[in-house]
Amino acid sequence: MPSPRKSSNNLRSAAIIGGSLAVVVVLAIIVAIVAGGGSKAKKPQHVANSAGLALKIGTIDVQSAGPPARINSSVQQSVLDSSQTYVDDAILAPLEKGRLDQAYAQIFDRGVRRQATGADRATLTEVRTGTLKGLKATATKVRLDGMGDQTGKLVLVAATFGVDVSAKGSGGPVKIQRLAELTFAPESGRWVVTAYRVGVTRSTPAKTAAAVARAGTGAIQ
Amino acid sequence: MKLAIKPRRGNRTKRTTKQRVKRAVLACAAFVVVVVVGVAALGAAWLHGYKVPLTTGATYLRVEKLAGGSRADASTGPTSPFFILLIGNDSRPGVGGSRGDALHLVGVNPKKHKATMLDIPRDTCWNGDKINSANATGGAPAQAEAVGGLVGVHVSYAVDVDFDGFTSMIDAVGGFTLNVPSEMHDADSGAFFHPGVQHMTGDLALRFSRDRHDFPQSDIIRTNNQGLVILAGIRQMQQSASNAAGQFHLITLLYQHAQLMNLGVTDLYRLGRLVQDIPVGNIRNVTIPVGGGNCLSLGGDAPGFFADFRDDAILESH
Repeated sequence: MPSPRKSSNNLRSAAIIGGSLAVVVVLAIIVAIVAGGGSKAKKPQHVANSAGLALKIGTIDVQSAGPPARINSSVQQSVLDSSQTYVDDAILAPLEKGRLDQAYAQIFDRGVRRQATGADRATLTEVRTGTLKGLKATATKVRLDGMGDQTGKLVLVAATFGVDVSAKGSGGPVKIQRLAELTFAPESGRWVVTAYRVGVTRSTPAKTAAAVARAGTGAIQ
Repeated sequence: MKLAIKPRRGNRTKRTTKQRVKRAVLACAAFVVVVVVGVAALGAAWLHGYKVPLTTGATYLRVEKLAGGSRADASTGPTSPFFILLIGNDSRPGVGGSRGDALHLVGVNPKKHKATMLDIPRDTCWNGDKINSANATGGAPAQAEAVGGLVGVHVSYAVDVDFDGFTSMIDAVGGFTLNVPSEMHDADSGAFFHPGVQHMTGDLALRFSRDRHDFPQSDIIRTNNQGLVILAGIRQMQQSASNAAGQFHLITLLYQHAQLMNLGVTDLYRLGRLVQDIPVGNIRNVTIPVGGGNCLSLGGDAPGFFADFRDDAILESH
């Protein structure tokens, strides 16, 4: 039969160990919450717009001029992130803040950037629409079409999606419907937009206007 | 003795039967292994891009980026006019040579979203010979040099197709719709058409393109008709490849049916988008002015005609 002192020592040790474990678990939970969760950061849930619009990947189809090609998860994520940047910085930011966010230009390659930030800016972005209130935005799932070259290496990925925005403007309700086809190609290790075909229809009580912008037909000489 | 011999015979018979069964089993197994290995090898070859003529329709169409034309560069943007030579050669089973029997020089002006297709009769004289002979002697590059020399432009791309390539490509895209301009009844080409809109398979399009006996102007009208086929093909392409998925599909088809020289997938994608951006109504189909003779001389207006074409790849005052 254990002595009363020995029994009390055992109880104290158990309490210390249990308490320490509890502290470690609580600290781990706090660290995980403060850090935002490592696994969450990898998912395409990042939303930089107040409308809460997050693009998601839908159908994926890949064709190839040679052996079968595939769009691996990192390329999918890269293309999805750039598409989300386009939605956030070119469509929603101007409607929320009245200006383009800087990352907009960076999603395009050198061949189409000038056109995207120049002649086509009015069609590709909502910078001329001005700020609106009560922004609500929805998007279709992003369809990915890939193209492999003669060796089966993925060389082009087209992301196609629609975005609908409804809001209140000074003259009444505003509706914006967009269909975007952004074709990405690798450039210096990044997947950037090398061609685009974007259509937009903007409706207010006063008028409805539609526009289409295309680029990336490629220089031949 | 007989009793002693009988069992031996029985054993031998048994052994022989066993051996036969064993041999048959081995033969069957070997056959199965050969078939499995063969199929696996073909599959592996296919996976690695080896084109089996039976399954791909083989290679009868060749697209070539010609020397002297600078590399397609995404960074420079679609600015400069350029020229593509479309060659229909007469190579087919039982017929030697590959003369450039259908010659069409397409000038593309990306800025203006316009193009002009010059139809060049095959008998047009160049350097004392019929211009179509250049293809037989030096292939597409020589033909491009001859046509470029005649018109005074640098040809950046040549598309060379024979009868099989022509028909297989058209069939691969499901044919196209063509408005046949006049009655055709020609046993030589097999062209029997009433005027009007009709669906063309590869074979029908070839018959239509080859008929020259129905027209007093013979090859001049035939050349122009070939231009109509090309325009109808472009219209079909624009309809079936109106988005990235459609364009990727066309590129895949092209790789199955064509031999591509110095051209990558991205080049083709950009070229395809360029064609997509030019409405068919903005593409003129014009036969060059020619005179008479067996080796056709150029018509009197040819210098001004070519000058109008080469300055910006489109005919404006002609």
